[in-house]
Parts: sequence; C-alpha cells; structure tokens
Amino acid sequence: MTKNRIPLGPFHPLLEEAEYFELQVEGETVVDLDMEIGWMHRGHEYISEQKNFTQSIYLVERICGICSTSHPIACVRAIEDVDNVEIPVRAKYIRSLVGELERIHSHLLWLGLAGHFIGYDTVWMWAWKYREPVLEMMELISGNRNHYGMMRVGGVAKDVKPADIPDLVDKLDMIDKKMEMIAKVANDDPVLKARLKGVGVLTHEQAINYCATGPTSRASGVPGDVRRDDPHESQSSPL
Amino acid sequence: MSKVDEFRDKFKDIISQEIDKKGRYYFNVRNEDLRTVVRYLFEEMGCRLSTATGTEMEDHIQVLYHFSHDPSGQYFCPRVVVKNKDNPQINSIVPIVMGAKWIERELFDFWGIKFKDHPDMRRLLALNHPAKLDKPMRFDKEDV
Repeated sequence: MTKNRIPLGPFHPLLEEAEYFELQVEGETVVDLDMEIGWMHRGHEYISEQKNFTQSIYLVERICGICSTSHPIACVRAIEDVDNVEIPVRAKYIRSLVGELERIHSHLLWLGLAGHFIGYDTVWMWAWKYREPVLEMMELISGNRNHYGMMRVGGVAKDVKPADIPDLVDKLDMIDKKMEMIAKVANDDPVLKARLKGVGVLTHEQAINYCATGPTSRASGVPGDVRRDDPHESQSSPL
Repeated sequence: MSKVDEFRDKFKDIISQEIDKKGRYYFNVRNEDLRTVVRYLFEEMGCRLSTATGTEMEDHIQVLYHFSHDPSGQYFCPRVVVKNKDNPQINSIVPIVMGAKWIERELFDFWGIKFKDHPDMRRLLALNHPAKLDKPMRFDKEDV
C-alpha cells in the first residue's frame, strides 16, 4: 500500500497548543510520525537566569497551566536545597495536599480530553464534571482555581483554615466514590475498548528503553511511581 | 554496601571529582569511558535516564546525565567535560539508551554540542525557528 504524508499543525483545531506532526499513513493506519515541538518554547531557563529567587517561582508557575504546582514545588525545593532551609512540617503537608489535588484534577483533565479527542464526549462531560469540585477545593485553599501561587521558599503562602476542612473532606469523599464509578465504567465500556485496544502499544522493552515514567510505564508493566521511589515533602512520612 | 559504594568500587579508576549528597551522586567521567559507565548504569543496574543538562563554563562545556535508580531513589549523575568550546563533541549514549534521543538533540540545539553516533542529529526546539537561532544558550550567541 502506498504511504501518504499528512501534515497536522502547527495550528490545528484539535491541538491545544501549537505543535506540528507529520504523519506517515498507510490507509487508516499511522505507521510513522515526525514532530516539531518547539513552537511553544519560551526559553524559561534563560529568562529565569535574569530573575531573583522569588520572581522565578512565579515564572516557572506559568510554564504549565494544568500542572501549575509541580514546577514551583521543584523550584522552591531546589532553592531550599542550596541554602539548607528546613521547612515546617505543616507546610510540607500543605504542599503535598496542593500537589495531590492538582494531580487528581490533572488526571481527570486528560481523561476528559482523551474522551473528547476520540469523539466520545460523554467521557469528557463526566470527567470534567468531577474535576470541577477539585478546582473549587483549590479555590478554597489558595484563592485561585489555577495558578495557585502557594509555594514560597521556606514554606507556603497560606494556611488551610480549620473551618474549611469539613467541606474539603466532604468533597474528597464524594470524588472518591465517583472515581470508583468512572474507573468501573471506563474499564467496561465497549466503545472505549473498540477504539483504544491495541492502538499505539508501548511494549515493556520500549517503556524501559525510552525511560517512561509514572502511569505510562506502569501500563507497560514497568513499576514506577515517583512518590514511592523518590518521596518528597510529606510523602516520606505520611500520616 | 550501598549502591554508591558498589559503583565507586567498580569504577574508581575512571571516575573523578565525586560529590555525594542527599541521594545525588555526581562524578566526572572521560568522554571515552562514558558509554562503559552508562551501559553499567542502564543495563546492569536498571537505572532510568531522567534527563541531561548542559552548562557552559568559562573554559569548558559540560554535559550532566541524570540516571535514577528507582528501587533505592538514588541518582547517579555522570558529567562529561568538553574542553573544545569551538567544536564541542561527545559520544552519544543513544545506542544504549533510546530515551536520550531528544535530550541530546536539545543539547545540540542550544549549546551546539555534537553527539557522535546519534542517529538523528537535528535541532529539536528551534528546528524551524524564524529567527534561525544558533546555539542560543551560549555566551557568545549573536542577539537576534
């Protein structure tokens, strides 16, 4: 069968940000792919060289709007490491709390988008419905739904108010139950299976060779969880 | 015996300038020994390449690979120093670790370091940059 070349991007309705994919296709099957990923490169490393420590936290927070805690947490920890700063235990727990809530909303976000991209908007609606309370929790804790601005060198910007805790716990319980439901539905769904099974398989060897991490590597049978392997903040001493 | 001690015993002849702190173990290795060390880290110990970083210093350029030994949470970071700043060239580790493909392209892109035996030595991020960026992270870059 003849191979065809299909350009996708750099500006395309399907893509969230500017990136360019060149697909090699045989009929309906994508057999090879080349990509250009530099379209959104803003040179944060270079800009941060010209900022002071406090400014650079805000800068790195804006690398990504979805994972807007992971970069500042790495940044403040690096600064604290240089200066041997020990932070209060409560601050460690608040950092982990914000980080974990971000992880939950981030996973729900990709799940929803994955559903949307394969043309199955029900998944999108359900996942994002339960992402909303997570964002509300973030607003309760930090004042912002995104770009929380919680990280500071030596601690966090805000304390969690005791009066807010029952509300947070209620919301978490609700999300916990709904996540079980979604996991069950997604695992059993014939549409998702028909669309995803056997597509874009990453073998065990490839996962090791390409140094995959987290859920990506676990899906290929390579155990890996950074929270277990290289714990930070309260992860090394959970309650 | 810790993983670091084991490693140090095995390679004490070819590594130098070790720094061992807080789960991070940095050491210098010569360009010709890089693949030996990387092969041991990746194939024998089962380390994962986390990333690689480049830094330009006054009289040299250095490339620092970060290998994570996940079962113990220990990082091993071999550093290669390149004295020739006009035409920096080091051995690619892609023949051993496929995951290094893109990060070596990025180092080539921003610092102009050429990786020998890299299968696809193209720019990564500034591939079709309209300003035709050339080694933008170097001290002597031309302002565009």
